[in-house]
Amino acid sequence: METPKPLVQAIKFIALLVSVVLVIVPFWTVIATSFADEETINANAGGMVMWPTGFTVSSYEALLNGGVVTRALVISVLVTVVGTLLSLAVTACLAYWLSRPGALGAKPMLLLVLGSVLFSPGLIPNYLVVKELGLLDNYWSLILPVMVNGFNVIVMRAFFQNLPRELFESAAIDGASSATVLVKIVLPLSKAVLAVIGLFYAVAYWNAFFNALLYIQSADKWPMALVLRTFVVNQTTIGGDQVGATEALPPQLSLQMAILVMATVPILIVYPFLQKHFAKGVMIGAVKG
Amino acid sequence: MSTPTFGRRRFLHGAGSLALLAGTGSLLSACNDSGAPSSNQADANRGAELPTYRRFAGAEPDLPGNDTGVDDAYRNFPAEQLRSVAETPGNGGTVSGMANIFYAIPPGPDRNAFWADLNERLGVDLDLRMVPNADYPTVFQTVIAGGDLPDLVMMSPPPNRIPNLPQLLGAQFSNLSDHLSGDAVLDYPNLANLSTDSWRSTVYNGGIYGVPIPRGRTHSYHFIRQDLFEKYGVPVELKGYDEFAEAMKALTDSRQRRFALSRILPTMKLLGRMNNEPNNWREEGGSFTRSYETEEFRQTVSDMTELWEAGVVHPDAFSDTQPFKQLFNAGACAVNASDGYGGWTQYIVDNKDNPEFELGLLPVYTRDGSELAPWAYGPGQYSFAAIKQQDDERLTMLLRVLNWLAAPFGTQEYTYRFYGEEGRDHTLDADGNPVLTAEGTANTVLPIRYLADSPSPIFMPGRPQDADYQHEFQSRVLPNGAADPTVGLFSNTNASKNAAIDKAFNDGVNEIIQGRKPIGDLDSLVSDWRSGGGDQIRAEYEEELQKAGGVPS
Repeated sequence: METPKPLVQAIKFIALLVSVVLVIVPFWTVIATSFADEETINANAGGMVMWPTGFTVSSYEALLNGGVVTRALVISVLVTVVGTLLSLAVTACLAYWLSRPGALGAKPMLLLVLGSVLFSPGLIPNYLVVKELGLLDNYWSLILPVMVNGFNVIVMRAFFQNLPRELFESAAIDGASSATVLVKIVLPLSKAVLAVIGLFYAVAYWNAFFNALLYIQSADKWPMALVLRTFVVNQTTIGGDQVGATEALPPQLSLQMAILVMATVPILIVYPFLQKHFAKGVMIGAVKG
Repeated sequence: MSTPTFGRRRFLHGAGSLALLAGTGSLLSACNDSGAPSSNQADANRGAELPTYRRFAGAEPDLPGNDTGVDDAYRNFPAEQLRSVAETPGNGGTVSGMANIFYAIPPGPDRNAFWADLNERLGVDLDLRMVPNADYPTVFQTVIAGGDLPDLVMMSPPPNRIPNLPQLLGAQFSNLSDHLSGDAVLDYPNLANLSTDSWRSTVYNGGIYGVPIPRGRTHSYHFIRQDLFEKYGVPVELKGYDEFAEAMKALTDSRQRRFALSRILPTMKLLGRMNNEPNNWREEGGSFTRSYETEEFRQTVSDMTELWEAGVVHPDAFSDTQPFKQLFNAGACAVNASDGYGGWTQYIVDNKDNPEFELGLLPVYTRDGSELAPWAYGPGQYSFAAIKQQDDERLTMLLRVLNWLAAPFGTQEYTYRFYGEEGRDHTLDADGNPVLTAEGTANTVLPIRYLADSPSPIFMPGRPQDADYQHEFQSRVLPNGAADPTVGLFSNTNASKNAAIDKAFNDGVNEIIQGRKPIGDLDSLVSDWRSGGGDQIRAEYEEELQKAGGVPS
């Protein structure tokens, strides 16, 4: 391969550097502000700080002291973990069913799945269904209405369809049931797509605030995304009682940025663990053999 | 065996079926609309007898209010507090309600002694759905559509922006006229203490459909950091636009990230008063003109553009999420050009640990500086609470509960409503003023004040000078003012289309201010606003006004 000329290399380097800086700087200011004390924030005219000269972890201490944020964090983790596992299980079963040639009822079901991708039932019908199921103010209202995503089903079905047909035939000759084939052959071969789809689901569960806003009436049951929206986006004042602070409260901006960090970091942590599968998974369908 | 496939024809067939289903849904929805009463006629509304006003004979104010809209002012909390409601209003059952909240949501009654005691005082188990104010319109619409209404519902503010409001009220909420019209309201003395103005916007379909959450005529203040004005030698009496612009320059030092002004729209409201713009609409001989259509508005846009070019406005001024209160508190912006007048209390509380912070109010003069500009009077209410349709006995009980919640300043009920129990939720300072404890601060923010409220007096615990300052300010500015002539009228086009056409218009104006478009484009923006629904809104208001026989005096 021909080595690019130094000038071209320099231009590429600068372009990449600018891109990285544009991505890193906002993150950095958020993190720096979350560690800044009142004096530093006031010295920056009440705005974001680039370097927390007055470094303090008081915002994190206050937020993790047993108030609404701590509770929301636990709720979000539980909803995300339970929701993602259930979503993956149901999506895998559905995709497997739809990928099997001649499976009973697969055609109308595929139509329904595609219909759900193309047409959304809308806010009010969804609300009525959740209400009639008696799920208002219930954690299941954050999982059940969004448990299966049609797009994810179609992606997973495409992956299953590309698995060698011979594997299924030999398993059938050995007397394996459909469930055995799914669990012992298909799923172990599908780690990449499971990782990608799992990540899609997890990020969706973690970031979802709207369903919680509509269906969850008690603030005690709020997930992190709704806390983030209330205190950071809507800028509701955070009181001592809400964050479990017993002494003087850290500055509002520092608290807001700490909430933002706490709402972002857990889901970011998941990426490196899935990266190996992720790179392979997103290539699904990119190259047809 | 074949793999399930999804061809073009099959897709079209499926899509058609789904579209038909969706269409059926719309049709059902339309049938539902048409089934609701639609007897909202302005002449009938104007004919509805409003509740008799009878001032509650409570604590004497240190500085009394007056007919121009100046509020009563109290330097200190009244030592003797009357009991305004003799009997427990409730019957032991559950009363559900929904309202917006501007604070973090407080704990439930099992962990909130204030709430638990409130239930006891009201004689009900108050089941409140508290929704953050920014999300209230969405949740309100969904709950209404869901049909599972609480007993008491705060209408999404401002109520006249709720599409098909008269039909909604007629179909799902109680007509309270039999209980509140004329002298009937005297059975609920705290509701009779609400001003006649505040009741006007509760009348639809010829009846009273709610209890107002009253607000004073003052409506908003032009807040300033008095300490910064003094620090930089800027006078507060800025007579005319030129002095105002110079003062804003003197307050700005962009290298220090300090700007005079924070947000665009509030600044335009201030400039609009200076330029004698109408208060939203102007009515002349039965014809309405929106402020956007006037030469005065064009002048305001021109002034705003000049201020923006001069760099005296915060760079994030066009962002909806600009933390303007924090910037004001931190001294990064010296003027909060227009904010709810109740914000006085919050700014003082937020800055109680900042010895330099001194709050002030800016009097606005006409453009030539010859006199004070006309004040833009508020609509008299924040919103109103409607009661779900139910039998008369329960309706009476709910009105008794609202009567308790509307207890005026200086009564035992008011004290509990805002300050809770002495010792637990508040302590008394040397002058007998309640000071909320940490527990009280968190627990008393329950949004019951958005289900019913009393007229708000001027009172700042521990700061008697604030009573004199605000009372004097209101007395100076309120005698010369203009009301919005559409208050009490309803335009369904306004309710359904105003948000979209207003946003498009304001986005265009923002581009002009930022220099991306010439000011000449204002004509096409106005034209688009008119064709997008503005003319229809005007026609509906004019028709309503004609039926009503003119703007109420």
